[in-house]
Amino acid sequence: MNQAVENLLQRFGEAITEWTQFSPNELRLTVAASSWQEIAQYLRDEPLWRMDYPADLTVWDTGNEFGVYLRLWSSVYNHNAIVLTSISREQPHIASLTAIYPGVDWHEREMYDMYGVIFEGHPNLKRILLPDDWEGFPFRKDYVAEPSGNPLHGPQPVN
Amino acid sequence: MSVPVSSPTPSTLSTVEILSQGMVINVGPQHPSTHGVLRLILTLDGEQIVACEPVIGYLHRGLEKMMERRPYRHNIPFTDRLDYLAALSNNLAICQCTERLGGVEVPERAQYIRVLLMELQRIASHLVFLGTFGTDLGATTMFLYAFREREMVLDLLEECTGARLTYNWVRVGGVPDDLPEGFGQKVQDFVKIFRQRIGEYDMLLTRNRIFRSRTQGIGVLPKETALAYGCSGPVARASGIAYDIRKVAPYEVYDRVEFDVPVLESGDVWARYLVRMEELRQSLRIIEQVLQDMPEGPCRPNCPRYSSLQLVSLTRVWKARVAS
Amino acid sequence: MGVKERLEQGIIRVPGGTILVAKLADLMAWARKSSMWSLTFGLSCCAIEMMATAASRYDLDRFGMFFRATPRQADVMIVAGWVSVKMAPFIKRLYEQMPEPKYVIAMGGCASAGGPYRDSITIVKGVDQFVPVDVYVYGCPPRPENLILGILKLQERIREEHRAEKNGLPRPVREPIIIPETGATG
Repeated sequence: MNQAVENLLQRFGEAITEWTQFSPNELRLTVAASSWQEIAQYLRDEPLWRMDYPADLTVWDTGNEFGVYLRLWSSVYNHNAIVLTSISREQPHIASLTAIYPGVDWHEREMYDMYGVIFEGHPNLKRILLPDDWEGFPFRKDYVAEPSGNPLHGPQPVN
Repeated sequence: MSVPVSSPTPSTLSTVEILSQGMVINVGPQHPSTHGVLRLILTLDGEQIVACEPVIGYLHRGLEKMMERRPYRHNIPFTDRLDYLAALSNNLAICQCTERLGGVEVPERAQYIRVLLMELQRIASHLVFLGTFGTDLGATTMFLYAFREREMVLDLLEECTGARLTYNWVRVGGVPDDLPEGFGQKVQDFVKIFRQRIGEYDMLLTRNRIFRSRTQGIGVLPKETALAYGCSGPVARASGIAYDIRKVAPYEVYDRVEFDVPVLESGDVWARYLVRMEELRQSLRIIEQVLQDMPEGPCRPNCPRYSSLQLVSLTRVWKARVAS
Repeated sequence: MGVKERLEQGIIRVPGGTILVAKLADLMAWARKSSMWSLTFGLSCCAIEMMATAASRYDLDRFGMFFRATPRQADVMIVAGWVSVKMAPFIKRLYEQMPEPKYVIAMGGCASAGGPYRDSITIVKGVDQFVPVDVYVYGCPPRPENLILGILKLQERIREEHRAEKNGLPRPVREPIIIPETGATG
């Protein structure tokens, strides 16, 4: 993995703000949001990486910014990689990875549904879990979970 | 609507165009035969399904939002209800996360008990698959056979945990209590019976010609597609991906027991069925080894009960480590 | 006692044969009570217990219960599991599609009152907010025995309703039947 990491750091330079290697086959990268798509593409296609399995993609809200988390696995080398980045809460835009990993399609839709993060280039970015007419993004820390905000639609109480 | 006779000519009103539009059929979410609540918008061309758009989220609870507000150990009961066919496995997942966060050591006996219960749970879960799968393919009898054996597993689990479906039995740092007296013997009896019963299933399904023709070569998922879509579990292994978390990153005592991971190449429904059948046999193997090797000793958590405050601070430490 | 008097009490069987003599109304009520067909309609954990109730050990067929795959042929709807805001309109529609007389069993804590998801943002706090519920079976999930008890109580209610109808009394008010949690939950 060492040679691969060296190549990666050389290739992207300052776009990778930090990296940690936990174990011989586990790596965590923190990258700039602008090179998010490029790095994912590189990790998938580079012969020394071959990260062909998207295990997870999620978002969390720290209160100041959104963190985006992508976990990849290589079926060839049995390597794990965690790629992290952060985007601003006011302008939550990040490039979509659906063209590289079709499997993250629903993950990105879910994160749009829950946090309102816009994945640019996603072919079908709409709500997936909540009803289409839901107001707000419930997993944001400042969401007010009052039932009056999103009442039960359709049938009214019988009594 | 009046159509001018002179135009359009038959060549512009092409029949091919009308046929190619296909027919849209809505399946679910209230459709009775769906397992789990799923809606499918299907586009058909004759008998062939040419496009399918799944609509999900009919069971969404916003569990993450609820868990945010509770101490870690209060969230264990919720995990029971995530995958209710394998509640213990979910219990284990959240407990392992918390243990890793807090750096908690789990007593050896507790690790063995966990693996034993996990494998029993796997058998119960796979049996529900077998029963409902058989029903869907027209082998209704399979449902009754599979649930007969599942009740035997549930009896064992109930004796140990006190519940039939939602066990809430794994704790941060161990298990709440030791196995009941004579439990090992009962499990061994079950293993003996169940080995024979798998043979019965083979007779009923695996060697059944109709069943084979309804599964072989159907729904083929090639290896590349399975990888790109992040498939896991038996689905991945039936498509030729040798990925089993118990082998790749062993937890508890899975590195001390011998078992094989079935991997098949064909990627069709038949392969996915065979992988699960083989997993049933491997689970029995694991259970036997675990019963043999299980050491004596304590199994209850040997750590302070983490209140939310303490763990928040631990999380902060962890977060600081992430950030550094 | 002549046949006429005995007929007043309900159904009689002619000795030595397979002939039943009854008033049509009695016969209908008897059939209605002992062949409650249920809608195959599982939502979550409770659905698995419902399946277990129908399967080998508990054998729901003994009570004339049989799962039908369409609301048009169903008499009772067992709401087994939590109901989300997205799902609720479909449940209402299913209920409306069922022919009269129809009954609803709310199985488990979630369907009765929201259960563990009392403070969830998307879960409806009880299915009785939009369909009338006859029997509440408590438990999380209820054991199959408890579900069976709920079904038997519902059968009793159907008989009572019929008796009142026969004697020209007003239909009894549908008080909800509550089956408490017994022993360990399912």
